[in-house]
Amino acid sequence: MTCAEVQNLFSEYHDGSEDERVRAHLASCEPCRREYEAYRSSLELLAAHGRIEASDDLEDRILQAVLPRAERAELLQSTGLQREDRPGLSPPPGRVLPLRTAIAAAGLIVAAFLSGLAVRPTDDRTAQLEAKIRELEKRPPPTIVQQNVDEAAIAERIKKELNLKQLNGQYVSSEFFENVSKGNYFVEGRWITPQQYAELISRRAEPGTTEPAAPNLQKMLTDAGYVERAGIWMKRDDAERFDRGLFPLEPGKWVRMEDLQARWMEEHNLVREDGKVMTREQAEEMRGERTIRKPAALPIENPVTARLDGLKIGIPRTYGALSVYPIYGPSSESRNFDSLHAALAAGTAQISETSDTFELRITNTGPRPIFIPAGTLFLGGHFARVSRVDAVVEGQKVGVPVLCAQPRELSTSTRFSAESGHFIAPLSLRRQLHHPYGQSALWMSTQEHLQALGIQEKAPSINDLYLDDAVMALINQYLAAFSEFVERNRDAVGVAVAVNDRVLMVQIFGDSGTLASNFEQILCASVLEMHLQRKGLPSPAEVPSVLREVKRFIESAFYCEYRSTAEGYRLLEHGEDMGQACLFRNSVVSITLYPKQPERTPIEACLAATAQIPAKKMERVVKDYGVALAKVGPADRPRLIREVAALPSSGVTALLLRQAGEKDFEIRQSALQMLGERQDRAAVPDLVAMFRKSSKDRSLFPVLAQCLARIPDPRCTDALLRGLDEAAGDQVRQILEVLPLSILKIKDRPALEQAVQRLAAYYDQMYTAFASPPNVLLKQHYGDAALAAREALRKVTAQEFRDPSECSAWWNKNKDAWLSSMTEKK
Amino acid sequence: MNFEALSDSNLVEFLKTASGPSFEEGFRELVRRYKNPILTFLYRYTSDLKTAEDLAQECFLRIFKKLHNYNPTAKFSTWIYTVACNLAKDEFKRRRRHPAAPLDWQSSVHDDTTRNIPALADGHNDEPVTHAERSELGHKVQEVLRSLGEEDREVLILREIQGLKYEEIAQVLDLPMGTVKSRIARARQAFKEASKRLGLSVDVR
Repeated sequence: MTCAEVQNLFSEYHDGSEDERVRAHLASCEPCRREYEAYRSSLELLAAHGRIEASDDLEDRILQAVLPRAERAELLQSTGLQREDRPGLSPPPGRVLPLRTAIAAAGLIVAAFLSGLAVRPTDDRTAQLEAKIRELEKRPPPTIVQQNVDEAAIAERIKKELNLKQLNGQYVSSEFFENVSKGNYFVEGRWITPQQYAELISRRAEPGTTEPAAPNLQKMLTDAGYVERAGIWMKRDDAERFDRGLFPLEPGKWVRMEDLQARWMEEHNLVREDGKVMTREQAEEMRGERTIRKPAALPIENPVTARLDGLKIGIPRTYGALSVYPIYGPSSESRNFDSLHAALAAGTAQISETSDTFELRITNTGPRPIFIPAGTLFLGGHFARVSRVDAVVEGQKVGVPVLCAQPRELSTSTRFSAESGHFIAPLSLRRQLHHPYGQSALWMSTQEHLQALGIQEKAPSINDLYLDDAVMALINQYLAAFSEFVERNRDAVGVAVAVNDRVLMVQIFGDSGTLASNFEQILCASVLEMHLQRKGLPSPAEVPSVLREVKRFIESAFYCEYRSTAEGYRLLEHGEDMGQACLFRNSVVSITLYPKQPERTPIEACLAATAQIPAKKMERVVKDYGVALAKVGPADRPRLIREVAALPSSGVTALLLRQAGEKDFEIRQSALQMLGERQDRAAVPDLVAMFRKSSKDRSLFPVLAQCLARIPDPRCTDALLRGLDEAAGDQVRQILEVLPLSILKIKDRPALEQAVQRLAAYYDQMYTAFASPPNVLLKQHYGDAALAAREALRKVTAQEFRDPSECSAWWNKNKDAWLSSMTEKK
Repeated sequence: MNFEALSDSNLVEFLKTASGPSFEEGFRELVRRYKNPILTFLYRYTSDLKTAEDLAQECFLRIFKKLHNYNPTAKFSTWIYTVACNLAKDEFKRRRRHPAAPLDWQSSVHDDTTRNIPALADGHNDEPVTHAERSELGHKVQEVLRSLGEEDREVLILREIQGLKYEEIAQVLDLPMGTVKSRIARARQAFKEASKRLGLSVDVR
């Protein structure tokens, strides 16, 4: 063993490893032995001299830091609060001055209760009074307002600390209480017994009168300016104070219980947050947890993010499985318009009915325009109605188009109510309005919901969802449970709705008034949603808090993509809709956020599912879309085109064809794509004509070719094949790419035969031209065309051909079998 | 109640539910038991008595705040050392981040490649021996400790001065046993070397 190895083992040896090798080495090696001696002695010195002793003040210092906190924690515990357990390097608090010492004059409390004369009336009333006191004491503190529970506990605590008693619901000092109970009187600064009082009276009796008149106490006291308060006589001023809930702590010092509470909280470093009592640290933490914060390095700045920043999520109201979180924030003051709610409150707006049921007239006499977002509910009049479009009422009478709604009294018998669906739809249906196929997706979802409820054979109407008595009962139950929500959350500008542990929707408005007028709708929709979702599920015993989820969810809106629309913004997350924001004059009217969109339904499903919508209804909707398309700017038209395309109405094709003839490419493209997806053969002649003319339009040509290829019609195939003969360059490839799709859609045997033969002939033609091109430049073109044609043939026949001769050989041999198999299969 | 007879864990269990004067008495006992070891640890670690006292106060405050979380399966001493150790490290980090703070023990900042003793000619040698030091040797010990790295220092204090077992140190520092062993070996070696250089060790020739 080398010396180095041995020295490496010193540590273990020192700990007592009894290593023989080390021992032997040390015995024989002088330098190592010396080394180990130094090692051992240095460590021994460390052990022997390392300890220090704390000074006496340290112990006191530590206890002084800890004990006030212990006291506070205890107090918190007794008021039903958790023990503070947040670690932190906060400095020890200053010595807490207990309330007891703060009012060291406690001894004086009693004597000072009334600076004059307090008299108990007749004895039999004492018993009555005491009974009443006992009754009052037994009565539990009012707990209707749930937020006050902790404060009651604090009042209880203060009552104990100051040894207060309750007399007729008022707090009084215990000494006062005792004397009053015993029937003692407070006369000229001291308490005296009734006997002493009688003596006093008799001494005061006028000299010469042998028999003092029986004292009429009531008269005497009234004359001296005293009044009676529930059996106690006191000076008029004091009685007034007493009535106002004040009671005396020191001579001349009348206090209110609330003030004592506030002071007590201050002394114990407690604050009130969201109506609950907690430590400052807890409050700060809670504020942080509840406040929506815009990330510092946010790439997007717009009115929506500005609106969301700083919003605060409040304490939820929970009933059943439904939790509604109020969201507080400032009402946007700087905006240059009024909400209808505000205008009505200010008396600057008037709503009147017109001869047209579907129009309300709104008159604005205020200085600012009134903005009425679509979906605003108007109650009263012949029918309740909802506005159909965003409307601006500026200084004059404006007719606002409306639909009739019958909230809470929905029935299919009123045909009007059946049409206002969107605005009272359950949340999952509302969300469908953001679906690319809009109205159709909504109808389709409604139908699914109806099926789930066992109502199947009807054209989908949202009202049918509400038809069930059980549903209405449920809704009414929830409406009652949440009836005070708006009243209690006057500052709320939005709500987050959660069922069990899932956030369903967040809606934030520009001001609290708009929330108030929309709340009932939101609630009805939420309850219906819950009902639809929860079918057969038991209600959970305890609804978990989703505060964090709500916060996270709202904050995710900071990172989403904002796409401008006519109304404001569409919010997208990874290309998926997550909500929308409605803006007016750059101020937020409403922001709606939904959790992840469900899978997009294909257009075919929408078309199929909504086929049974009554034609009349369909026509009206299509007409509406036509009007809307004429109104909106080019940026929004593709969306509307997608929506209208999912409606199974013949009118849609004409509408789309008109859009396909527009100048803007984006609009033409989406219209043509949708025509292709709808596969409506009625559009074929127009499309073919368009295709023929489009050979010079490089961008439109492939879109049209694709559109034609999707429609199963021989005329389309024909047009494409003919186009092949006339096309050049890229267009050949573009046609050949989509041609197989078109050919394979042909159901007619002769037509199919002809189409394949024409394609084969084209292949042959190109191949031959490639072999002997008129010039070198064209050789490339023919080559490409031949290859593309061969590829197209492969797609059609599922055969690989080396050259046209092989192709024709196969065709001549297998033609009949192939044609039969293809046409039979279809 | 005779708190002195209670074991650490029983005392803590009692404190969890106690209130008022009995809590005060019990906690006082806890402070009595641990004020010296904790102050020693913190002082030897930070080389600054004032800082050590502040941290000791904070340490007990944290213990108080977390009392109800205390799990009696863990040894109380291990827990309180863990708290103290974390406090010391945090303080060290804070000072490093804010050099404006007094740099009493900045001199011991080292990297592992160079184990040179930093020059101590910054006046610390002339610092009067605090009342906490019982002897000149104690002061010398401090000087040697200060010349070591944090890692060496903490294990030496825990092992040599406080006499913690290896597994306890492993718990306090949240390290595997092997690492603790090798650290202690390394730290002892370093301490010996530094003692020689600073003239602490007694020459036994």
